[in-house]
Amino acid sequence: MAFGVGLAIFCTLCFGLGDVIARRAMFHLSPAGILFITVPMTVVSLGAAVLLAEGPGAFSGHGLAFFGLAALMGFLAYVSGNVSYFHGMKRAGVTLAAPILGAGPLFGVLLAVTLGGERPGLLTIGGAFVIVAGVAVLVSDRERIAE
Amino acid sequence: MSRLAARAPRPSTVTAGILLAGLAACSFASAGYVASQLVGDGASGMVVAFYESLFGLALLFAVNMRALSRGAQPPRNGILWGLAAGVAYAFAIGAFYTSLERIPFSVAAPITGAVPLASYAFVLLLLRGSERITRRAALGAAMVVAGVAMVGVSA
Repeated sequence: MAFGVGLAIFCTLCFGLGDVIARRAMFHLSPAGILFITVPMTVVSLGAAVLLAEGPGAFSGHGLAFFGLAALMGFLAYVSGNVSYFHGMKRAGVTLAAPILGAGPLFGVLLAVTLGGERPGLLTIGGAFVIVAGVAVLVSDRERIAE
Repeated sequence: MSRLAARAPRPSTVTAGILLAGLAACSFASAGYVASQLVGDGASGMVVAFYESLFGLALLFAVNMRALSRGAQPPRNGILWGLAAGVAYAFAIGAFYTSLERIPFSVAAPITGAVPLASYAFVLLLLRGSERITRRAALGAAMVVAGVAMVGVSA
């Protein structure tokens, strides 16, 4: 459990670093240009990690349903997700776009409730309201918008 | 007055950016939910992350084929920063899907809501002078993170 939480925290740090580096790359490249450099690098890095950690056998033995869902995830994460995010970052800056992306777990909780049948507690509902209020504070930042 | 109006920034551009970031948030959360159903079912988090990015790359190429065919050679600086971002994202996705093998999605997802805090820390290191963190932005980010923490604790 603790190792899993540690991995999620490590993931958070890497996403934060990746976002800022991608923003830095935007000084030289368009959002689409960055995608065509970052995504192949991500594929190569993950492929190398799987080869080293699990061997070539890990790539095979998966059914059609697995590949169908992986393709759906690829679309959600890279086509509608990354493309929207990089264009959003280009227009609003990383200091506005990143916190809005941070509200994504709220949508995840909604999915867990509607698709997974989970019942959220009072703290979850309160947290959801705080997230929405935080996003409202961000999007009404006149000083940032006026820059 | 007219010159001022001509030079004034367009809030609609920022609003469009905010909406796009919101769409991205929904997309990433949905992908994470699907991943939580796949991981551990005969495939490790790393393998799921690899195939997701492989399909994502193929779809990106398919969607942007025309733009690619007339694309100019990108500057070296941009390529290097882009490659570094790719490695950071690989670590992030691999770690997240591997964490789903050990903890539920409802616990892992809220933790990643703290990405804004990590981003702000790295902005101070790498984007000092080009991106500014206003008090209101910091307050909003802190509220988002606090809300995510509440959701995480309740999970």
